[in-house]
Amino acid sequence: MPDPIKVRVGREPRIRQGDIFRDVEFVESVIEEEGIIRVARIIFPFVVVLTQDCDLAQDFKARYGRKIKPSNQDKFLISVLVAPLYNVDHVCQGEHLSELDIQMATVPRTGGLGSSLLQNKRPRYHYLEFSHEVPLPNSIVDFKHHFSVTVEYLKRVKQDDFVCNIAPVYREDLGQRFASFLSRIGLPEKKSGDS
Amino acid sequence: MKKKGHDDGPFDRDYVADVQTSTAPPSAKSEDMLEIQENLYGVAKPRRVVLRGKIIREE
Repeated sequence: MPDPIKVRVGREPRIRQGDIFRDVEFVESVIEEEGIIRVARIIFPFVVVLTQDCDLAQDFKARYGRKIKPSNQDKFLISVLVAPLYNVDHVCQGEHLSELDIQMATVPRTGGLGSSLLQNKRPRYHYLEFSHEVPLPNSIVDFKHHFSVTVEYLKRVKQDDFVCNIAPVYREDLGQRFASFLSRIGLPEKKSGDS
Repeated sequence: MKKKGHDDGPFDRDYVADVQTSTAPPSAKSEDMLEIQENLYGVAKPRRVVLRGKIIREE
């Protein structure tokens, strides 16, 4: 089992890679029908920012920098990539999305599957163990569930909903495993009769 | 010390200065803290919220 990761609890003005936010909204659908609009949102208890930190730094300087304003918006980001954190106990029970009526696979803690999950040997998942100073349960990041939110949205909620920032090198470990997950190459399955 | 409003991103030499050391094993979590985590965060799962409203078109 890995040791608890280190985090920074100081709040900085800008969004950083590795920032963890609570109660982040994802707009699932917007349907307009006969003058009535229906907006469905999923509220994720916790998400972690995965976008490259230098891109976030450049975006912040371009938007809010106090020095010379750039002549264009070339460095502006359209959105920020985040991925949800799920309580590891809920994940093992396959119940972490139960309130969305989604049943997930169970992962017995004992045995090969559970141990590979907690040792970060499964490309889809990233286990984060937090120390007692951090108000977060030990969690699993599910890279397959990544989504995007706008920079302005995160900036707006940072004051109230920022939890902590994953410290280097734990942050780089997370970012590199996410990049590796996204760059997987799906090879064709071998059909019967193939030599 | 960093100047107010100044941010050099990951390459700032002070970047790791405020890292919190947290090497306590999970078993060292106090009962109070475990209870707080359970109450505030332990049971939280993603949930769906639906809003409906009348559209007012702006001219």
